[in-house]
Amino acid sequence: MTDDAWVPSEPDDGRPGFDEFVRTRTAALWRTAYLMTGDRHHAEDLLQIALERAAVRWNKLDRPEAYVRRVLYTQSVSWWRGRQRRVKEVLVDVVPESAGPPGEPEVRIMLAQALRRLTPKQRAVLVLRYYEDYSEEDTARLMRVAVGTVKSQTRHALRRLRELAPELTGLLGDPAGPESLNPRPHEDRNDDAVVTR
Amino acid sequence: MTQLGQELRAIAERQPPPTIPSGFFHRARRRARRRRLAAVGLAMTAAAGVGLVIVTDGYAQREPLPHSVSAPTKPLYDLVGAGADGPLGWLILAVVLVLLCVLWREAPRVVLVRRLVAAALIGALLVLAAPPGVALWGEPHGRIGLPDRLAEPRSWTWAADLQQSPPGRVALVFSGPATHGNIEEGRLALLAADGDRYRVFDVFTDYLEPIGAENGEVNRNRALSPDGRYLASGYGVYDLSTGRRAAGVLAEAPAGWSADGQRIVRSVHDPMDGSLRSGWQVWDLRSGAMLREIAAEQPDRGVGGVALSPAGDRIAVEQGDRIVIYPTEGGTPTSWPRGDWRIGDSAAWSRDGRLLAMIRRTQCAGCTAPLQIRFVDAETGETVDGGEFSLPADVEVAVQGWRAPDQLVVQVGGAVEVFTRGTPTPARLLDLPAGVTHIEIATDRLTDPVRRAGPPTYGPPNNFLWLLLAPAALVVLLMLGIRWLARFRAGDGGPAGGR
Repeated sequence: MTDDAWVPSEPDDGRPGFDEFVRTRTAALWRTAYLMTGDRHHAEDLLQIALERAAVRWNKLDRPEAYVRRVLYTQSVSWWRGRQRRVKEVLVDVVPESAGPPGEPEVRIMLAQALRRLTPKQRAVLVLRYYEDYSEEDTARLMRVAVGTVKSQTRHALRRLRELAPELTGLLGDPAGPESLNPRPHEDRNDDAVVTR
Repeated sequence: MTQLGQELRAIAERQPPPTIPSGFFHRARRRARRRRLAAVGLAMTAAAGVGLVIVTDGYAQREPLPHSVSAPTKPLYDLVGAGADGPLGWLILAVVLVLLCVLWREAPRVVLVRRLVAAALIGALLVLAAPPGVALWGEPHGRIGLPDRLAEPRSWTWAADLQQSPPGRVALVFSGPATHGNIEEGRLALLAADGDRYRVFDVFTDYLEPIGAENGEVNRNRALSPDGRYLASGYGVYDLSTGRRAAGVLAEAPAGWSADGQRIVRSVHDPMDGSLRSGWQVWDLRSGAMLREIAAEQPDRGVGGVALSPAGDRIAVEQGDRIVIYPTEGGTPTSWPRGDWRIGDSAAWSRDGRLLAMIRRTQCAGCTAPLQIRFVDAETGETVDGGEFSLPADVEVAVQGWRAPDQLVVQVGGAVEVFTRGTPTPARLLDLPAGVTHIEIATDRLTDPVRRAGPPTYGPPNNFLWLLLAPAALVVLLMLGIRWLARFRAGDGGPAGGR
């Protein structure tokens, strides 16, 4: 998965280090940003903000990627930004009929659509837990919330996904035991160590 | 990795990453610098606005009183003196919009325009909705002199009451349909003596209204003390420096004051019939003693018809068809015939004690009543040279007092005029706003120079404003609370993204 062990090769000279960082890490950071927002434009916006902040503090950052990821996580759940990004739900009278058991591409489309209808915090929890493979404790530390909040948000997010897309039940596991979805505990990523000089 | 994780990865990898432009690093740092500058500019604008008002207000208060020279104009003071409702509010809004434009420069054009329009609308509403002249940061002080015009607010409802925010000594008080409220019909507007600070005084009946005008009489009781500190009303005398009712000798409204403000004359009423005036009493305010009591030869139900000399050592009263001058310390009075002339209010006695202003309204059945003013020798009743003036008929005439030994200030209809001995045409001192029919100027202020009126202020928000704002704020808070609760129950987590 993502690698945040990137260290600027020329820490004393801002621009070459930053350009190298952008060249090598943009793709990974972009994927996280995209999953966090569910929208290409908002993801570009989010990534740009995170990189801008890193550029401003570049000479003070020991672990730039940890810092950029922290900005991505916090900004993606920011209430103010969330208001601008929120996908409005349209209520319809009848549940759309399924054409049959979904294939792999349909599953991804349904999952992507359902993800967009979660709250930013629920989406961030799912991304950190199941895409980034963080433990509940690490996720809580990165989002600066209690572990209990991570657990409840995960539970709410999975339940909501099942409600929005019942076809994904197999993908999401048993509703009675969300822990069955628990990913393999991740090694200590130490993303919290955003050291500034 | 779980199956969900694999699907998430597959979704993310379908989107190609964007290209970060090569000059991104420097552009980002430039943008950050610009934002910092704009933020600092916004903070400095706010601080400068507040500081400017405080400094200017303090400067104005330290300024010596200009008794003999024209008060200097202060454009800076005029700009900021009216608080958020004046030019300062619009200036600050303009600066804020420019700074926001810099701050949001990178936003798409449509978003930028939308945000600026929203900011401009909110700002304009705040400036416009600020109650007119509500001085959030201070009010004008230290500008002695009669203003060249009076304030004409859309409504006097928002002005602070004298008891809520005492104005201190006032220069003048005025009233009329423009100031009268819907409930209280006698609302008076007061203007402070040393700045464009206005207050109101709600009373049931207008104390400035002449009594008996339908009978051709022009007199009324004096409302203001010469120094403008005390205001008489149907409720008693109010000390305008404290907003409380005066006690002692001033517990009862006087009919007139001596120009030095040390003695008053009271009307004495018949104990059996309270509206029947049976005489006058002269009181000394320093000692609290009554100096002389004069019985009316013909008790009447009128007002006025009495004037104290500037030092309070003589009193002129109308006794039948004569004017009688009594020494207040005791002694033999002198008198002279008055014909159909009446003493021109209790401020009729000139500052040097030599002249009396007399008014005559010619009465005839079915015709208009031309008015005349005459300066007479107080000892003999003889008209002095160049001391006769004719006025238009059917206008309200109220003698305000003397501006100089040979200059009498009189309200004539919708204007205040200065009648100078030897000059047949009066000079205009002040035009009254539309809907203002009565005015009384504190006699001490008549000698002050006329100054340019500044932006008016109306004191702190009055209780009426808070009564309106409180329910509105409550409704907004309730709506926000209900909305937050609804979002919380829907699992949205509330604004903070709670659990």
